Amino acid sequence: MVWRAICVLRVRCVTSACDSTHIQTPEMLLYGEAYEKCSKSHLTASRNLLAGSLRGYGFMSFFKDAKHLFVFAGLFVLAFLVFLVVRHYVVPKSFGEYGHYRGASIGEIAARPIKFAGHQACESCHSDVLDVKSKGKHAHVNCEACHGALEKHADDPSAMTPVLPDTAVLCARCHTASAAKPKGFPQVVPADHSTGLPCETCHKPHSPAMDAGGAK
Amino acid sequence: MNISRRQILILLPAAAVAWKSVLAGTPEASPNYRMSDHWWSMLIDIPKCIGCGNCVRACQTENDVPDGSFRTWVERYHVTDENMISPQVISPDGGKEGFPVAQEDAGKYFFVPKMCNHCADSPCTQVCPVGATFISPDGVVLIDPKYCLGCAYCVQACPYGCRYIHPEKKVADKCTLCYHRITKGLTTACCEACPTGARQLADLKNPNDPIHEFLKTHSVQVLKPQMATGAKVFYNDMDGSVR
Repeated sequence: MVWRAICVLRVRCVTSACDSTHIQTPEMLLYGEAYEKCSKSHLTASRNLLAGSLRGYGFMSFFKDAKHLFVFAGLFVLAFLVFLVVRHYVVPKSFGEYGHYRGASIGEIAARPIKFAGHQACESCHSDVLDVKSKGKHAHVNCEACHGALEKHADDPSAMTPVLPDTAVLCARCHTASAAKPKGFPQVVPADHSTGLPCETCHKPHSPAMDAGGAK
Repeated sequence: MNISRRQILILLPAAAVAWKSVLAGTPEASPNYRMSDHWWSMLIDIPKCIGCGNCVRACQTENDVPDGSFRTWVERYHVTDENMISPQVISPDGGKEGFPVAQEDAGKYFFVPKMCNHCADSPCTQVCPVGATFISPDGVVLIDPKYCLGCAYCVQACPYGCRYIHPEKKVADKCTLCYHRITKGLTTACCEACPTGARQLADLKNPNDPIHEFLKTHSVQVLKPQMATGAKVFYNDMDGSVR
């Protein structure tokens, strides 16, 4: 009903012949010349408008001017078809596969190359080091924690030879005494502890306890 | 070129298979990995962290993180008796090269490694206007760099400050929980490089994962629980002053 009342407004209120000062909308101005059937009587108040529409007043005119509506409807359908075609080409196929995102991007992210081989890869060849390491204090320190990322070496040992880390930097990074470190963690003041000697003079990195002897 | 009927009959199914693989696009990187079987999280054991910065360096190496940006970083807290609620926090270059030596003085020190919390109800994915960031079916918050516009709305939305705009690619970037590793059965680069086991990757959907026993028997928190983000990075023995 409300919609029909609005129809009346749009169709009936717009006329150059009408000299009343009632409601004007952009459509009225646009189609002002086209409608000349305005009578002041039904436009004096919105209450009367509504009553007019209820009597089927606007309903008849709906059919009379249907041509315009069909043109608009056609335009809408055309625009929708264009939208569907564009959407088909613009939106990736996997968009919405799992949610509001491109599903294929998960596979792309998963396919990025790795740099750290993982200790399993190291241990499959260097089992001798593993034997030493697993008995010492560094049993749970993974190989690449000290030796750095070595996927290239794991992939093809001849392609890249790992560089031995500098123990002066490496050991100090973890074991330099600081009040901030957990109390139970073994810490030394390097200058006092070794008087400048390299750590590996006494400690073998894979099994650092002094009594580990000549272990690697 | 002469092709007999027999050859065509052989070639047609082969062509069909080839065409199907063309339609399917890029093959899955890990054929045996099923996303529905996992729900990834991370456990960070604060009393074990020594602030060596191995995780930060490993992350930068593994993921080509540019200098000055961090997918993970380590903060050192210094909480004194006089100032329990606003502690002194430092993170020089993200803790990449470790921390300055702390002299014994009043208060307590501890290290807090930070990273994307891979929230189950993440605020960052909700604000993305183009569907470039999302929570994967296995619980990892990821960014599709091909879709990201670099509007940085997500950078603002993350309550943990875990996102940044990549200075060269000009798109949002963040921790992927080493998605390219965990889908291959490896652990993350930061966990691989952590010498003390302070960081552990955990799969909440795996009933045999030690995380379940750990969560039952330890005092574990997440960051900013009041924001109801469903954060999945669990901190063991975390001080109340950590923000």
